[in-house]
Amino acid sequence: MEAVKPSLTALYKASPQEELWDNFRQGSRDAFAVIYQEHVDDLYHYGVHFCGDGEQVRDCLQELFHDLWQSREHLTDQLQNIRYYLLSSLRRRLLRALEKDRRLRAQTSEIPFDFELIPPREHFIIQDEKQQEQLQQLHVALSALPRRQREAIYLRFFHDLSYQEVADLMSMKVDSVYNIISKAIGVLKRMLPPAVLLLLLSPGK
Amino acid sequence: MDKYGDYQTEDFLQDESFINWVLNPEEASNRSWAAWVKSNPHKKETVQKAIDIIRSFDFKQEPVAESFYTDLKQSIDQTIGYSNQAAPKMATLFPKWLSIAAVVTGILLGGAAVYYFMQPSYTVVSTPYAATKTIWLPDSSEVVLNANSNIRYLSSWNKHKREVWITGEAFFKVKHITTAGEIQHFKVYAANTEIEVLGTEFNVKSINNNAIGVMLQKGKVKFSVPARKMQTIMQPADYCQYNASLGKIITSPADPELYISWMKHKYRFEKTPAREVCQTLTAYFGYGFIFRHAELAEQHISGTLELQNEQLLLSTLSELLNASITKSGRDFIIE
Repeated sequence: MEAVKPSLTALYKASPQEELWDNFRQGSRDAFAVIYQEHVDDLYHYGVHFCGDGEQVRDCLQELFHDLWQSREHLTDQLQNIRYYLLSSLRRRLLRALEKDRRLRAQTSEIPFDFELIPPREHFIIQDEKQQEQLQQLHVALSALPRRQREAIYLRFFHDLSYQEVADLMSMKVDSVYNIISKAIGVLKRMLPPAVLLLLLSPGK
Repeated sequence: MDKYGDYQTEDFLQDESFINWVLNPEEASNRSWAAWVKSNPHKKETVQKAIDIIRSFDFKQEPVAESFYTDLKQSIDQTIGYSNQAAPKMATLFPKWLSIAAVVTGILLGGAAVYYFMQPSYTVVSTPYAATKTIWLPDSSEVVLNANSNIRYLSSWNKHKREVWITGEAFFKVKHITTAGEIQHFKVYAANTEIEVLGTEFNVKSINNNAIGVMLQKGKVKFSVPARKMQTIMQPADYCQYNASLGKIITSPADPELYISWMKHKYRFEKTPAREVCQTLTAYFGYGFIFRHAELAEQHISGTLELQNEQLLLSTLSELLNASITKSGRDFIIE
């Protein structure tokens, strides 16, 4: 199977992002506020999944936005995706903080979120018991994936990063990310008879 | 879009443009997909499978209060030197003698002004009763002030000698700072005690006029009473209390939650004498409590009181004490 090259035009929404970024770099507080508003919730949730410590995530976010503002004049003018930039910056900061924390604290505390998947949202009321059971199976299959695979899925499908960006962010080759996804899908396919997948379509969008 | 004719479910799941369409079906650049699916009915099943898999990805997510983000934004704005009206009001405190001198001896005004520039001036932040406030110091350390408390520091802020003075109660999250390999110390003065820290989280409380209690949550601090040449090194989950009338520091292990629950607008108590609970409430709200019977005041109670709902607080307290509470002027009578 051939890896499909992402088509750039479909990937990046045209100018508004660039304009926002330019305004921000020129010192617009409003642009800064918009960037914060647009991304802070996603960043926070990603952070909590990543390290499980809301306080830590808050501290890193504060630092991130503080540094972002302070260094605005030195940042690239060719940023293609603000979301990617912020997510990867947060990830680096969290890794650094966790590293420091690990040296201070002997025991590693468990991570409460850890890219945990939840059962698919019920878009319609499921009356069929069998169907409900199959949805449950799907969820079990997804939850059984290794953490790193779940993180890749989370970033690609929840945060809308491209495969290339997921790869860069997780310091992997893009092919490995494709592999993760096809492995994950392989697991799903083994676990689920085709009929289950078909059952999932139906009315609700 | 000819190449898609041979695509299997996996291929669709690796196609950026396909995924973008599933995630953002309304976006103009993705709309051609809907048309393609319509004109390729033999692919419908394959496509639908891919869509189902994408839609079934859902991750655990706890809702976050909007105020969390607005507070965080405010903190960020403060650290980048930009505050809006919602930021705590700062007042600059002049040495008292100076303002008197300036008023009384008008002739010396010029001289006094020169003097003023040579004298240190302080930034003071204080809280009224029944309200807490979060402030960021110039080094971006975080301080949460409990009700009826205040914090003071040099307006010029010496980054090599970080010092603050507090009255009342405050929780500190001190930024760990090293310059040129040297750790920058941070000192809190409360009444006649000193707390010296390297970068840590702790709670300081003036219990009454002659006692200070420190609860260490994280890190390490040195708690000392310079006038008596006493000091102790605290470890996390240590509670230290200096009592001037006893003249000693008492250290005991404790649950930090009990000492910092006020930041969540709650007071948690465990086997605490009712007298002490009411003292804490008095410090917070400013009104007094009068016990009709001494035994009642010494009764030990455990529970959580909601500070933001006075009615609920009083009824919970009355439940815990199994006593009635009635208001009388500025005081509450417990009997």
